Amino acid sequence: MDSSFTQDLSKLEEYSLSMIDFIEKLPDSFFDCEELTPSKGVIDNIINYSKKTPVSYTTNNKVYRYSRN
Amino acid sequence: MKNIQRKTDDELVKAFMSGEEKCLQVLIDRHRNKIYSYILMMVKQHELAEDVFQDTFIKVINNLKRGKYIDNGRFPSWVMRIAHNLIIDFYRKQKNVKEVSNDATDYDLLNSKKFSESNIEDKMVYSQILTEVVELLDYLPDNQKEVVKLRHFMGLSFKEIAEETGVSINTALGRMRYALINMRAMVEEKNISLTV
Repeated sequence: MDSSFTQDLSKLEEYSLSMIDFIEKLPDSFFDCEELTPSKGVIDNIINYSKKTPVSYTTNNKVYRYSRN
Repeated sequence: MKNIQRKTDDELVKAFMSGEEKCLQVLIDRHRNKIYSYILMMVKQHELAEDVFQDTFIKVINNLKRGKYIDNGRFPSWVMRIAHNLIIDFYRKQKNVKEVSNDATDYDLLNSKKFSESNIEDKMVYSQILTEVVELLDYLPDNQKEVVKLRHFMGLSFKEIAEETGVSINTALGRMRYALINMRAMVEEKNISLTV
């Protein structure tokens, strides 16, 4: 029998997937808002990670925020 | 040669997979707000949302550099699916799915019991209602539109909205009040049904 936690997680999964469908339908202009932009530091981390990553790479590596972790 | 900014997502992905690193920046710039908004809607905290956003793109990079991408013209959707998996993993590890609830607010998309327990048909109707509500937002003045987005789509408190937009809490509340009055009027005028 599914536990309450499993059921809640299943509902959350359904909700999350339906939000993806919903967000996909929205125009890009809807998200044109400074509060909905990730920080430059995060973007820089991603770009730097990519530059240092060869074509084949193992997962489970995590780039931590500069000066935060 | 085609300007990099005018390339389609799939062209950028292919070029990135061939080693053109600069294409990743264009893809991120093009879709970062949409993807970040989805993550923020699910986790409700900026710090956590940024961590998930970063981890999502690390998986995106790893997958692309391994040649794992299906060309279907829906790059942002593919990225959001990866974010979705990370978010669900996060809550699974937390062992407390209720953390996603934002009970401090009087209404929240994530707290919509009706939606969470609805069937597929209800979900489609709900999605249609949300789409119509979003269309109504376009008719609002910018300052009212901003408050509605931050409050109901991003789950910010009025105190947070006041801080983000540089106005007093009373002003933020006033803008929401006028936004709701205007939207109610538009719902009546356009004869839109807002029930599932």
